[in-house]
Amino acid sequence: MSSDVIVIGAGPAGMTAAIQAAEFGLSVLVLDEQPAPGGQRFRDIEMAERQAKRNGGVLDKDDAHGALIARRFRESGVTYLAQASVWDVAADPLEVSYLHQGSSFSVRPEAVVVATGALERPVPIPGWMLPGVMTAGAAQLMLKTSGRIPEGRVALLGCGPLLLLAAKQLLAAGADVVALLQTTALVDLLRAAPYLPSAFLAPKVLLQGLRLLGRTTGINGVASLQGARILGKDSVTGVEYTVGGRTAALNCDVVLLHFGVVPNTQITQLVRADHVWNDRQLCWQPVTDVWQETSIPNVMVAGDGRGIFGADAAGISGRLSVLNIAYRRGAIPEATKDRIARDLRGKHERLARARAFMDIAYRPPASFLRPNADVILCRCEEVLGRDIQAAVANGASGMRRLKAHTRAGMGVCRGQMCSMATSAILSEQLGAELGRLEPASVRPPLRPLTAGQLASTKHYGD
Amino acid sequence: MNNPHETTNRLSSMSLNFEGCVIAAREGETVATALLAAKAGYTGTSQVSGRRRSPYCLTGICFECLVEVNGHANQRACMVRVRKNMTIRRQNRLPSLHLKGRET
Ligand code: FES
Repeated sequence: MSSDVIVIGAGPAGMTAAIQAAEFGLSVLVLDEQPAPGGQRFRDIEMAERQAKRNGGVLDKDDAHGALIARRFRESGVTYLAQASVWDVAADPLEVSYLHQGSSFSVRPEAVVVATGALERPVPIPGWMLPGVMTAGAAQLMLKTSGRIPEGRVALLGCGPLLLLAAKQLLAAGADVVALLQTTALVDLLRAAPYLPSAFLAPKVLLQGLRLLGRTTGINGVASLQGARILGKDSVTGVEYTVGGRTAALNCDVVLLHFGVVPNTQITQLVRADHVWNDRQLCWQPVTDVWQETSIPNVMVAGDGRGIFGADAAGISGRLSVLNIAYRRGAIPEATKDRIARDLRGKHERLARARAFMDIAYRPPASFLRPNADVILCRCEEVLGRDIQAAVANGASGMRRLKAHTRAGMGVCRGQMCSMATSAILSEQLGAELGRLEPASVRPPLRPLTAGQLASTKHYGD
Repeated sequence: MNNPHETTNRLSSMSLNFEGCVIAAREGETVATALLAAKAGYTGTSQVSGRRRSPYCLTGICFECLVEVNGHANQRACMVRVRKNMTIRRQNRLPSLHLKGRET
């Protein structure tokens, strides 16, 4: 098996990258962890479409578009491996290693497109590791993929459009939503107001936002949340929260957290591409050139992994990411590359500008991003905020040292859940801006694999 | 309930074995959602403090949902689709990265 390009991830960006590359005549291998294409935004979209058909219904416009991309992806002639987990990407020579059906494989492509999308920003608040706490996105996925709603009284907590959408969907599905606790305050909306004009450049994004605001009526809502802790011993029993300096509490069985989404940079960090801190979206993102190539030659990034712009922009970004690969392989002339790029970049630009309003209106407050000393930051190794503080006080002046001192980030999730919170403490204690710190390093294997699997890795030469 | 996602002919249900008990699951869903719906309470405990773990992200990121599926350890319940007669057990430790196990 030899491939011109390996696409990692089969969400909107990965699917469109693969389709476009195949149209240029490149050989494409797509590796995705899910059982079916769609990514998180269009998870199980093919099943949803089949079900809608059987019931004589139709998907909404966005989902129908996702289903169409999935169909074109299936028909594109690319090699697509579902439930394939990438556990390493090496830069020189470029090599991708993955697990599939219990065995490990390594392939050397000419280029890689990292299309691993986004994850919900992990924000450690006291009690967040209790059974009964999930992300709002998790509840939404549960609803979409199994038709199930969380059992018992549900409180949603955090900020962002997805939190509001999840509240609305859960309510419509018959969940017992007892509270929507938002950190967003009026001042956030005022701060975002100057960005409204560019939001009009992409009216769809704006309309979605406005519709969401209207949709949450009918739920017991609290805004301007300053702090919160989840109560319970073996599982959730309630939430205690602070608003306007006053503390209140409510009883519930499920807490759904959401503080926006951030790029999943696990693979770009693994190959040690340069990253930069994005202060508006409060996240690390890979540095890329106009062809979406990282500082590592022939490693491109497509979609939300480059910065959060949403599914429509991801679809455009996917196509853009393969243009220079195709040009270098001699599959398209320069004029074609430039013509397609011009058109796509214009569209992407409009969607990206509209995003600013959302980023500012739903910015998570500093009081939540700076974790409490008593909270478990690193779930895998159970490292507390105060352990990190102590290690920094003892001279751990960077993420690498912190890892060695505390084991934070050395667990099975490879630091995906704790690295942002850990670096927030580090930056605060060192008095250094986050952007001046080194981002956490990521080491293979990204997924648990046995010594046997490692030893019997099948290599496909190029 | 007027759950729009709760379609009447969602594909058939099946049974799984969880810790020696029979639980119902829906075709197409993951082990994680089946366990959440069965009120499994928790899917494992941590080796460090023994605290109870339960699925958190459902997207394969957090590894809080690790269970043993048909004797194979270290399976993320949210990444495995249910199959008839699967046997699932709580995993009472978090693995180091090279412990015995299989992940597809
Ligand atoms: S619930 Fe997070 S990895 Fe499964």
